[in-house]
Amino acid sequence: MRYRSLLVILLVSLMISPVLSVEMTGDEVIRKVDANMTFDTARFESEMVIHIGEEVRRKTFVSYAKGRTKSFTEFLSPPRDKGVKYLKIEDNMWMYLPSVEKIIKIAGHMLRQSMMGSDFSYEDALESAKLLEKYQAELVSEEVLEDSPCYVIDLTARVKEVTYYRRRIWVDKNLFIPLKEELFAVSGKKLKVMTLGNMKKFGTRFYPTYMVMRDLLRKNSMTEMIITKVEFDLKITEEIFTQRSLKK
Amino acid sequence: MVYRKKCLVVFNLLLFGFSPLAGIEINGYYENDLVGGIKKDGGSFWGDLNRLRLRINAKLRKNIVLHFEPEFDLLFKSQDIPLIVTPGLNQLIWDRAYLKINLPLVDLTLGKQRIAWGTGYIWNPTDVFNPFTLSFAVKEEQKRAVEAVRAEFPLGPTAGIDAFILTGSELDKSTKGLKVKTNIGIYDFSLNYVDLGLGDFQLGFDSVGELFGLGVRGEAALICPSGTERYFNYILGSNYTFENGWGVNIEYYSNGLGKRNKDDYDWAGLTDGEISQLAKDYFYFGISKLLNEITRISGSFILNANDLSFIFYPSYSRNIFPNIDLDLQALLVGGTEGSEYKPTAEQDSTGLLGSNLLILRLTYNF
Repeated sequence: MRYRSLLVILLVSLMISPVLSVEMTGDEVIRKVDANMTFDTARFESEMVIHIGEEVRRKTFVSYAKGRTKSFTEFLSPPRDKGVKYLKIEDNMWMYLPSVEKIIKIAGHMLRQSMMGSDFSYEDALESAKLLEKYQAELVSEEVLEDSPCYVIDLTARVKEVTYYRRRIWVDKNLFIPLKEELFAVSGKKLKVMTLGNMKKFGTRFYPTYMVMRDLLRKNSMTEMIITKVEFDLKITEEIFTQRSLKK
Repeated sequence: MVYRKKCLVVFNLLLFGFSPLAGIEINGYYENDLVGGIKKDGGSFWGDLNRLRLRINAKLRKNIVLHFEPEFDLLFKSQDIPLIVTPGLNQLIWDRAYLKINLPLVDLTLGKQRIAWGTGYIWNPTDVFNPFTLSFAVKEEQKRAVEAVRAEFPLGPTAGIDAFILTGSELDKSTKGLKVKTNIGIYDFSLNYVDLGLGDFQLGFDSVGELFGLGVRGEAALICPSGTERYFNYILGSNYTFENGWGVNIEYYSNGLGKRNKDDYDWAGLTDGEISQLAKDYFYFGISKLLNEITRISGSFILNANDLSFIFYPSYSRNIFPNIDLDLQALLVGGTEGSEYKPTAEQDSTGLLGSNLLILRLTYNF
C-alpha cells in the first residue's frame, strides 16, 4: 500500500513536473510582449526631458497612433520646435518644418539621427514591425530587476536592415512588459540603454508611462519620456495619418 | 511699399473682422549677427545685424487660417560692409502673408507664400523660385516667397496634386505649375510641369528613398525656353549616418546652362539673377555630428568641379539656454583669380563674393 502510494506520487510527479518546470521560450515571451504593447488606436500626451550634464531641455508633444504602422506627432513646445510634425506610415517617415513649409522625407540612415535632439533616433520612433519579424529570440536567463522577476531575452537580427543587430531585453514575468533594453551594433558595441517604468493599468493592459533612453555614444546625456496622458482604443480618423494633416 | 500697405489693410480687415472667433498665435525669433570679414582685396568689414521675425497665425474659422510673417532687419553698426549682405535693411518686409482655406477636397493658399518643390539639399532644379540655396548657411525662411494662388488636392495619405499660379501679371506671362506626387514602397516620386510664361516651360521629376541602406534622392528638370535650345539640370544625392553618429550628406549638380571653362562664364546673367550658377558640375559634401543634445558641429563644402573654386562652411551650434541658440560659423572661399567663388572686382560688382566671413549669431526664439 505504501509502495503503491509512493508509486502513484512518483508517477503523478513525473507527469506534472514538465508542466511545473516548463520554461517559456524566448519566442513565446516576446510574442506576449508584442501582444501587450500593441493597440488598435492610442493618443499620447508626452513630455520629453533631455538632460545634458546639469542642463535640462523640455519638449512637449502629442501623438496619435493606429496599430504599429501609423503615427502622427506634433511638437507643442518649446517655441523653436512648436509646429514640427512627424508622420509615420509603415516604413516611411516624413517631417514637416513650419519655417520651411515643406514636407521632408526622412530616409535611409538619416533615420539613425537624433530625433529633436533627444537620445531617441527617428528609427527608435519609427520601429513598427513586431520584434519576431526581424529578430530571433532566445531566453538566456532569469533575473530580478528592481524587485521584479524578469526573463532575459537575447534578440539577434534575422535580417540585415536593422539598426541594432542584437538586443537584450528584461521582460517582467508577470506583466510581460519590457523593463530594460540594451541595444548593440553589429560590432558588438553597446549603443543605447532604455529603461521603462511607472506601469499603469489601462483596461486590461499595463503600459509603461515612463522611459529613459541613454545614448552611450554621448557623454552625460539621457532623455526621459514621460507620458502625461494616454487614451487607448479611441476613435481616430484616418485623415490624421496623411501628408495633408502635416501642413494643417 | 504699395504691397506693404495692401498687406496691412487686408491683415487688419481680416484679423479684426473675425477677431471674436480668432485664436491668434504669435511666435518668432530675434537674431543678432555679428559679422566680420576680409574682402578679396585685403580690406576688412564688419557689421552688427539684427533681425526680428514674427510668425502670426490667426485661426479665423476651423478651416481658415490667416498667416503673416513680418520681418524687420536693422543694422546697428557697421564698417565697409557690402550692401548685398543687408537687402531690405531698415524696412518692414511682409515676407509671407497668406490665407489658407481647407476645404473637403482641396487646400487653398492665397497670397505671398513659399512654394518649395524638389528633393535636393543645395540645388533644386524643379524649384523655379529658389533653385540654389546655401541651405547650411541660411535659415530656410530666408528663401524667396511668391505671390500666388495655390490649390493642393489630396489623393490619398501620401499622394496628391499641387497646382499654383503666380498673381500680379497677365495670365500668359505668369508662372503656372502643376505637380503630381505619390509614394510607392519606400520611395516618394513626383512629376511636375511649370509654365514659365511666354512659351517657356520646364518638365521635372524628383524622388527620394532608400537604396542599400543609403538615403538617396534625385531631382531633374528639362527646361524648354522658346526660341533657344533645351537644357537639362539634375541632382543626385545621398546621405549616410555612421555608427559613431557622424552624418554624411553628398550631392552632385549638373547645370545644363553652365560652362566648363571659366572664361565662358556668364557673369552678367549671374548679377542680373537670370542664372544662379556659372559652371557645369558641382559637388556638395557635408558632415555633421550632434555632440550632445544641445551641441552640433558641422562642415559643409561646395566645390565647383570645373574651376576648382570652393566654399567651406564650418559651424558650431549650441542651444545655450532653452530658447537661445548660439552659432559660430565661418564662410571661407578658395580658388584661382577669376573663378566662381574668387571673382575679380570687375566680375563681381557686389564686392562680397570672394570674401571670407566669420559670423557669431545669437537667436532668441519665442
